Amino acid sequence: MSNNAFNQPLDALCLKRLRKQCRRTQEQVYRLFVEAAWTLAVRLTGCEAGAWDAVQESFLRAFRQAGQLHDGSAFGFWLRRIIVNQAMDIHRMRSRESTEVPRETGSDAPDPAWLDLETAIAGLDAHGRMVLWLHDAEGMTHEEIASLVGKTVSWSKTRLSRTRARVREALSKEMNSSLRKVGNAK
Amino acid sequence: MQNDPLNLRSLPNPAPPEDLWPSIAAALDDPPRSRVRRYLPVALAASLVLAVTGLQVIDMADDQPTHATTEDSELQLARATSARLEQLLRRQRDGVLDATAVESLAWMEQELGWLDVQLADNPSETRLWRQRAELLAEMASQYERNNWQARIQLASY
Repeated sequence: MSNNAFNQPLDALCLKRLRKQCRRTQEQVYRLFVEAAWTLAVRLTGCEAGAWDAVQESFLRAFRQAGQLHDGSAFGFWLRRIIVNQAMDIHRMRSRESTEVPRETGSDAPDPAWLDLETAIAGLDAHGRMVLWLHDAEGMTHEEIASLVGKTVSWSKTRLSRTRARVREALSKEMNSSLRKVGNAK
Repeated sequence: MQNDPLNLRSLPNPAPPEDLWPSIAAALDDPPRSRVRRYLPVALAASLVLAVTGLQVIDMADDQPTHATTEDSELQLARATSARLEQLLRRQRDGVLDATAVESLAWMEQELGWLDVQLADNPSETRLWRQRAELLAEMASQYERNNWQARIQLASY
């Protein structure tokens, strides 16, 4: 999955070309990270429209500010941080505008178990979704998440525990409802 | 898996849209600094003065004993200052910037993002609103300074 995809280092030459705004290198770097970036953005924003904005803006920022980066091995993690920040910005704007954004799973996978899990994740609040995904799927520690969001470690732990419980509850409701449907059909 | 009890990693990766890269490449060809616009320096300066005055009032209020009403008025003032500066920045963000200013403003934009995440959870936290207003004032001043420099540079060509 995506937890190690941001871990791919850029060599010194690649970083040098990025700093010079070489378009071919930018495209190569984009291709290297886009799948991980897209997955993360879809999971954090809960919809493809939000993911598009977050990924586009994040790559733009990363490429335009590549001069600030001194270590090519940190590029992926730097990009991930920008994406998380962008996703939170999108969440903030949505909260301000108070508009309901249609949630999409962003996947064409037909497996019902995946769909249930994706629906449950998409139905979470933005902070819960972020902590759950960053910790469980991206493999980040509570310390890293807390520092990223500007919260305490205990906030991250509590949020994760509550969010996992919510997902389990949603999955269990879904399963009970399916069982009832099967029972009624019989 | 202990760290992934819900098995999130088993979810399929959604495929990124094919037209995303062309869109990013096009945006890279059109950096914000290429959009030269005219500004209304008098209006901006006036807004800035109002904002800075507001911040000074907040700072003076620091020395006063804490009362619920003082706290409320500080919060209202910080929010109002924040809103006014945000309006000002909305216009300034389209301006001409040099590379150094872009970097420093991008950093400040990120800081603003962090503050807003915290404010989403603590909307009545006066301290956070004050920090936000101070950051916005710093950004507005940087934009304003940079816009003057840009105008002078453009005029010299």
